[in-house]
Amino acid sequence: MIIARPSVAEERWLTLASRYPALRAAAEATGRGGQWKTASWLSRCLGFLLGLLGAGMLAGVLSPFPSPWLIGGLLLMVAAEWLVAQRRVLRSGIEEAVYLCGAVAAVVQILVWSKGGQEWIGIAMIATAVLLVGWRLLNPLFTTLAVSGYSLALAARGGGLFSSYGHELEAALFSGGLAVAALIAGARQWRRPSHDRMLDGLVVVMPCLAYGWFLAHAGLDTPRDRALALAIAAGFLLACLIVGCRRRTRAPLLGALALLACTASALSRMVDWSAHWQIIIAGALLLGTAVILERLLRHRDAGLTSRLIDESVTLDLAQMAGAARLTPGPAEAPPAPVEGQGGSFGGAGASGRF
Amino acid sequence: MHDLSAELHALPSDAMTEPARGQALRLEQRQVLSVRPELLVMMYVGVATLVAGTGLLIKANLDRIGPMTLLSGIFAASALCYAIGLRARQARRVRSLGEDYILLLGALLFSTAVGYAEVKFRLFGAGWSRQLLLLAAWHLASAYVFRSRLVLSVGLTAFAGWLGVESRLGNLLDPGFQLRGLGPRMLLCAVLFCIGSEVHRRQRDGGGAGFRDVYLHFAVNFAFWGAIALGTRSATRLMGAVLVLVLAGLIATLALHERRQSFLIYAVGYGTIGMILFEVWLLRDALVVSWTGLLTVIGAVLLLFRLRTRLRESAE
Repeated sequence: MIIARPSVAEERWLTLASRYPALRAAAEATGRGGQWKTASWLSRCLGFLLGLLGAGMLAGVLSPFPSPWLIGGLLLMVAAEWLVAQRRVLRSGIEEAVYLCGAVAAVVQILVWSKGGQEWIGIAMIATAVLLVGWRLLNPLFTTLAVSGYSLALAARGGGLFSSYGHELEAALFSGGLAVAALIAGARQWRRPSHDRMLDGLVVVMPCLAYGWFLAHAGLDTPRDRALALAIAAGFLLACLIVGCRRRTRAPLLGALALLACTASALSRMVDWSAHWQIIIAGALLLGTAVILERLLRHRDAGLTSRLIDESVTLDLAQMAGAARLTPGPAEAPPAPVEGQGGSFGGAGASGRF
Repeated sequence: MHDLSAELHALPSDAMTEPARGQALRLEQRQVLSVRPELLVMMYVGVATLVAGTGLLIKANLDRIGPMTLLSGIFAASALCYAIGLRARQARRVRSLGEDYILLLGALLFSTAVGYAEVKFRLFGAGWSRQLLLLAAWHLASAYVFRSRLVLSVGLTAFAGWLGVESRLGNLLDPGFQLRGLGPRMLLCAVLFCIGSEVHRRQRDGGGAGFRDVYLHFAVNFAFWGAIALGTRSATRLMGAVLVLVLAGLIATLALHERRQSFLIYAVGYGTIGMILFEVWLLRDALVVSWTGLLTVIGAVLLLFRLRTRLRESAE
């Protein structure tokens, strides 16, 4: 029997098992997860990497054949479909990477055949393929990528991908409108967790895209444009903060973090300080705000709190890697002492080094 | 929004304790939300931005402010951060997340200042790389004084940096053999970090403050990087390939033994990438490499599924 994807009830049990690792065994024992095999975040990342590697290797294998993109794309989609429908593999990363590469490769083959077509239509077609894969696999990252692709296609309408776009304002309005719609729709109780996650993706990414497209449109040469850009970033930041705090949901707060960077970038265009002072002040403000918030929320048991509620291995690893990444590298070696033209020993080129 | 309260209620009563069920229900009904991950991101970005800004400040104002003033300022800022850490230590309380990151900032500013002083005044002359060893010693000592895993990560990275720059194993052993490269030095780092993790093995549940984990993660990463780096030289290529496979086997066994999913990811991930790189270096023909690479990836996927089933994932 071909199984399309988990039912709503099955997905809810799968989400419960992944959200509370301590309950995983109990949730699986109920048998309501539909025997789907899911993976944790770390495992999913590795699966995605392996899927990408496999797709790349298949591209190499098929390179001598005619229409390799189409053959490879179809093979990859069949393999991914087999994994999902027959093996009941879900959110393992592997089937996601393989399905994505397959769908994009098939569309690329169509684009190769239709030489001379407009680039924005190509972008829209690839975005549609990614959207369909996202819908099929209930993957919010893919649906968000697809919608971002649509905003790019809208901006590039009538032009090329790497030339001046000309429709950035429409793209900014599209992204901003979707951000507002997603913020409003997020208030509704969604039965399927993945649909909620898809909206979350839009809440995080679309406000930043709206700001970015407005920057590309206005160029920020006049004080009016700079003020407008700041108003867009700060307006969305405020909206995300209010919604996140009132609903106690994570996505608007993550969106607010991204919008903090946008607001800082908009502010930096309005002040005439040197770059290093801007960076130092921004860093000090960010760190200071976080430390104060952590202190204020530390003892709260209800509402927003900064207490550690559940341990995360991924976060722990990320902290270690992050600290190592920030460590300054070795200083430059001092310049070598001046040597004569004749080499370092014996002269007349006896050293063999010149 | 979505709410899984109904599923939580449907779980059998022996699946979890009542307080745990209550906590999960409060999370689902959004009575409480921990913003700790968001604050953590803010702190990390704040520290990274401050350190980057300090670097730019040094570069841009060297002539205008003068090296002594700059150094004094950075050392003073670093000392202030260490003082905040010391205050918590003297009060015999666990540092908060914010204090942890301020301590990390202090360590990074100290590194920046020492690096700058070395570039400016050439305190060590030809033995300039010894400042890295001193820095590593300082950070490792302060990591133990403050029991900070973040500072320990900085210390281990500084130590690896020193070993990478200074050590010359080839001079001690056979100068003709290719042992001076990056690979052997990384492997030496891995061995030393592994010894460090063994020292903390007994403290796993108590005073170790998770130091063993930090040492182990560094050891595993450096071991794989070292083995893969051996492949960049033709003389050690085969040795590197064998070492990657042996390491993958050992780390996978350790992952299953200690029920650590992250180590399983290292074993399969590094093992696969390492093998594909060695196939590229050894076989060279694009089509043959594509075929062997495809088979390697398929094998890795099957292995990952099998090992994951054995580990039962959530064990970590």
